[in-house]
Amino acid sequence: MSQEIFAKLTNSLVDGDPDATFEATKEALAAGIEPMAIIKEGLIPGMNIVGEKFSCGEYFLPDLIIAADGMQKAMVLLEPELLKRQQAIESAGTVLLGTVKGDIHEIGKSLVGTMLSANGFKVHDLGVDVPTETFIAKVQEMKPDILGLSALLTTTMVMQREVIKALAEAGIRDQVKVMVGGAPVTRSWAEEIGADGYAEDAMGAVQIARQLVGK
Amino acid sequence: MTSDRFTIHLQPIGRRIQIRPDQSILEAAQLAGVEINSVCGGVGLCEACRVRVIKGQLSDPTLDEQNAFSTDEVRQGFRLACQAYPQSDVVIDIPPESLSTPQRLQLESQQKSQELDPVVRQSTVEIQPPSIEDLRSDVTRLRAALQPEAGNLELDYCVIQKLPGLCRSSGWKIQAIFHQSKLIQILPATPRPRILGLAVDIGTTKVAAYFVDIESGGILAQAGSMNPQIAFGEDVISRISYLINHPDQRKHPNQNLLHQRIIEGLNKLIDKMLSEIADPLISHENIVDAVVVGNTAMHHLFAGLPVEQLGISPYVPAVSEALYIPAKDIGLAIAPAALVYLPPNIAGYVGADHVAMLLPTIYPYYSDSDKKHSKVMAIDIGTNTEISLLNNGKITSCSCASGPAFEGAHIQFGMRAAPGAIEKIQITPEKKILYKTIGDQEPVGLCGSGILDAIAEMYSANLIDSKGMFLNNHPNMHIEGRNMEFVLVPAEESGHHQEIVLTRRDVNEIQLAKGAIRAGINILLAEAGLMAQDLDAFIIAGAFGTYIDIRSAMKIGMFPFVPLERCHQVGNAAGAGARQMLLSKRYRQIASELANQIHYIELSNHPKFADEFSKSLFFPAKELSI
Ligand code: B12
Ligand code: FES
Repeated sequence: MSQEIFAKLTNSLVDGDPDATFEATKEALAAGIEPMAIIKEGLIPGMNIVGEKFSCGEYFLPDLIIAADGMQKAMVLLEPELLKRQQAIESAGTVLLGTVKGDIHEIGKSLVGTMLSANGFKVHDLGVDVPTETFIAKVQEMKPDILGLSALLTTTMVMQREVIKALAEAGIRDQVKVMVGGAPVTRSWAEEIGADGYAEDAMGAVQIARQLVGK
Repeated sequence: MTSDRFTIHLQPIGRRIQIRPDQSILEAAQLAGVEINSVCGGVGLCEACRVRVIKGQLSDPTLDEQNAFSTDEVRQGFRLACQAYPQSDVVIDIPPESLSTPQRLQLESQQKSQELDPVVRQSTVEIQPPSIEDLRSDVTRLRAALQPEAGNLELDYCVIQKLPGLCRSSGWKIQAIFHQSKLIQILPATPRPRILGLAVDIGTTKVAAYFVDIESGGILAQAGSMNPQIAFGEDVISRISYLINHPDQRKHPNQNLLHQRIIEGLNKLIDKMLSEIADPLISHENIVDAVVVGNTAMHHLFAGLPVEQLGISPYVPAVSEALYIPAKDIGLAIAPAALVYLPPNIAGYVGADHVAMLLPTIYPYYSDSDKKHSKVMAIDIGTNTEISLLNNGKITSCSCASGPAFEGAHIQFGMRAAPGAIEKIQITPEKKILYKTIGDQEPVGLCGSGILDAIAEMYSANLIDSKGMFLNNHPNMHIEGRNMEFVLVPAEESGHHQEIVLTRRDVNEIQLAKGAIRAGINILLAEAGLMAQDLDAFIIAGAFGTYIDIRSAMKIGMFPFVPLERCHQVGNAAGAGARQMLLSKRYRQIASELANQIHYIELSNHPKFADEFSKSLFFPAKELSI
């Protein structure tokens, strides 16, 4: 019975049917399956298949976005349940994520967030148009392993440099790894501004994040 | 030994320029007025600025450059101009594909006859010559002759400068040209001069200019060119970041290179049109009125206004109301005191060009009491796509950041609409690939309409699925892991003896662009509570919009399905609107009314955008037989 529902969850993500993911999650909870099992046995395997298909080129951006949407829909149901049970997903590391000030592009940033969550990272998403001071305050408060900065405009890329500078000024640059991304961001830009990691896409972000917490 | 300046010799153009070691080769070209392609604004991303170093020493290749070139190319000296800095005098070869090529430009647009009530008018004045008994000044004399018009006559300084000479050479009979009550030009009265107006549409990529006879309304000449600012970045934001990164250029907004380039570019177009008319009686002095439209950034750069605030959220323009600027203040080569009219802007990313575009498209419905309740959508596709919807007598507009993919940017074999670009593609039921190129030359790449056709045809022929995944259903399909490409033209048929292919990545770029456009359309419709089928007219304006096959656009879901007989491809509507304003005071008023009346929907914080965008990335179900 639960195997069947797990397969349903997994397939709904792989087939890109967020509504089906939502329904299957409801069904699983109604059937009394533990939320943690739903995530581990149903959703994460699905996201992993999507991720693999993306890496090998079978899937592209739309598939990733739609799977992430399904994952998010499911988490809306599951998070309160986890809270009730005072459970937390065991975490590969914590990531503080946001789009820099002046920039409201959220799709890519959220996708990175979802893929990181699906791979066991605990993600705090600060949203878009996040002021540099907020990044600093939140790093001090939450002490994440990684700070992820997204920028989609040539005019807002420079804010990534600002944040890294501000971290140094606040004396906490060595307490957090910084990874940067977004369409105009390049590896050499990341190097120039002294970021610790750069990735071209959401799957790459997961790899980099793993490397960054690996040491 | 370090020197503070190096000479850069740009070949094959043969220009030389001196730059500092902290200025890139791309900057050298920009300073020299050589238009090297730069899609990303010089951040090393687009690989459009490929050049070859022939002689001399450059900075070490950056990571971006190592990624951009094969070892073979590195050996041949290939570099990205934006990443390379001189360490000695150097000679650079710019390959043709890195130069902004001459383009097919779209000028013709539907023309309707129009009532004439121009702002500028002329009348003949006979001035009393002076004598030993009559020592009044020439200006006093002119005022006296102009009674009763002279009541509150304003005289431009340039007119005073010209007056004594002209009076004496023309036997005290002159032609006075007025802008409202201001005297802006004087010309010899015989033969009666022709007075011309200049209408200009400054697009991010292309510029179109027209000479109109102010008294007859006829178009006397037209000319187009690429926007010379392209060398500073393909999209508006890249150009603004150029200025943000060059503080020295920012000190005087009316002297920065981007402003200068567009003015120089327009002056060249003016000269070109004058030489086309080739009438010894028509010179710059006869061009006594001008209307210039463009998106908000183009408008500001033309007017010499600061644009930095337009590059950073919340994108506030310096001015949104209509402006009159004396031509001499910005160096536009027409009658120096002529007042250049800039219609109002709507919002940070919806500019006067969109207001101009509405005049010949939506306004005829809006103003006609019988048609006022029609539902009409007008769309201008460009790097920024603007969309307006007329519903219940009200107009709503939005702007979506579709990007330059349809201009060929970020597409492996993408190019602008120039000779050799494939503009139409068909895949026959026997899976044969047929194509047509611009100028019927050997194919070298794909322009926007060709890319659109290619994807639509591949989708119909089951070579890609609704997600854009490539399917192994054709001998020309090559799939190796992440590398997927479909060969459209074999090497032996192409102009450069390389295969012309469309890759999975290219399709993905188009999915992003068309997704943004469709999301904008859907949101405007949804806010009005309408379905696409409810539209009485779907008007597609702009150069790209004129050449595309609408059915292809519908097949890939860029446009919703609207019965074809209700779709109209109208050409350069912004240019047509600019001409209407040149010929009529009333249209200038209407432009201001429209700009005030329009309800602008900001997509940046629209709750439905991300959802609509994600959905619109897919290709729609094929059952919709078109
Ligand atoms: C959708 C979109 C919008 C939407 C955004 C909606 C939303 N809620 O996010 C709207 C319409 C609101 C919008 C607005 C604007 N946009 Co816009 N927009 C786009 C568009 C079409 C797609 C962007 C996108 O979502 N891509 C899909 C996602 C999944 O990809 P991604 O963001 O690149 O993310 C991936 C990677 O970059 C990486 N990544 C991203 N973040 C991070 C972070 C880390 C840490 C890591 C490791 C990796 C990583 O992983 C992601 C997943 O694989 C692009 C054009 C294009 N073809 O890219 C223009 C584009 C980005 N926009 C552009 C512009 C100019 C604007 C506006 C200024 C203009 C306007 N017309 O209003 C405004 C700015 C608003 C603002 N203040 O930021 C320009 C930028 C040009 C430039 N040189 O900078 C672009 C490139 C279009 C263009 N060429 O004109 N836009
Ligand atoms: S890579 Fe040089 S301008 Fe884009």
